[in-house]
Amino acid sequence: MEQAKSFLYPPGGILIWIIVLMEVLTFGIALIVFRVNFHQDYDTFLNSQNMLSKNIGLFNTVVLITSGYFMATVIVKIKQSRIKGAIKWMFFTIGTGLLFLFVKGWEYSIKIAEGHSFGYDDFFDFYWMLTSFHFIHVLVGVVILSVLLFKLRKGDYGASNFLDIETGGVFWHMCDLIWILLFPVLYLLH
Amino acid sequence: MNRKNTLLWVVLMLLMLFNFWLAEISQTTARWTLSVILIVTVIKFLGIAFQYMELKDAHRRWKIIFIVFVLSFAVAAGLV
Repeated sequence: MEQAKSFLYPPGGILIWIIVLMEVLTFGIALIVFRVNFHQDYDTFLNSQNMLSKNIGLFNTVVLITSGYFMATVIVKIKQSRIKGAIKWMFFTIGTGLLFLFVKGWEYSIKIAEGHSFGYDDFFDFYWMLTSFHFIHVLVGVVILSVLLFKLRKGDYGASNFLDIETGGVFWHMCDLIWILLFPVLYLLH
Repeated sequence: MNRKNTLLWVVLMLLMLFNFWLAEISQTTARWTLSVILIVTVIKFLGIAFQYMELKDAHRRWKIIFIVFVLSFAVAAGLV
C-alpha cells in the first residue's frame, strides 16, 4: 500500500511526471527519426550540421544546466524555510532562462540572415521544429517560474507548502533533459 | 544536499566539455566516439533526473521507467 502510494505521489506530483514522460518520449522519437534521416541523406545533413554554431549550442547548454542547478537550489532553500534565499535563486533561474532564450533567438536571427530558415533543407526543417518546440517549452517555463516567484514573494509558500514550486521545478528540469538529448544529436553526432 | 547539487553541476559541466571536445576531434563517424557521446548523454540525463528532479526519492517504478527510456533512446540513436 505504501509503495502504491509513493508511486502515485512522486516529487512534484504524478501529473507533471506523466507530462515529463510524454515530452521526453516525443522528443526522443523525433530525434531517432532525425538520426534515420541523417543517414539516408548523409552528405546533405552533414553539410547543414556544419553550418550550425557548436559554440553557441555549447554556451546555451552551460546556461541551461546552470539554470537547473539554480532551480534545485531554490528547492533546497525553501525546504530550509529560507524564503529570501529561495527568492534570490528563483531570480537567477529565471534570469538564466531568459539568457537562454535571448541567445537562442540570436542564433535564430543568424540562421535566418544566412537563409537557413525552415524549408531550406530537411536538416534545417528538423532543426527548426525541434529547437523551436523546445524554445516554446523554455518560454512557458519562464512564465511559470515568474508566476511562482510572484507568489513566493507574496508569502504563499513555505517549508511545509511548496508543492507548486516543486512541480514548476520538475517542468524546468524537463527543459534541461530535452536539451541534454537535443544538443548532442543535432549539433555533435554525425 | 546542496553540496551534492553543486558537485553534480561541476560533473555535468565536465562531461559536457568532454563530449564537445570528443565531437570536435573526431571528424569521422567513429562508432566508439558515437558510443561514448551517447553514454555521457545518458549519465547527464540520469544525473539531472535523479538529483535535481529528485527522482531518487520516487517509487522504483518511476526510476525504472526513466532508466529504460534513456537507455532505449541511446541504443536506438547509436544503432541508426
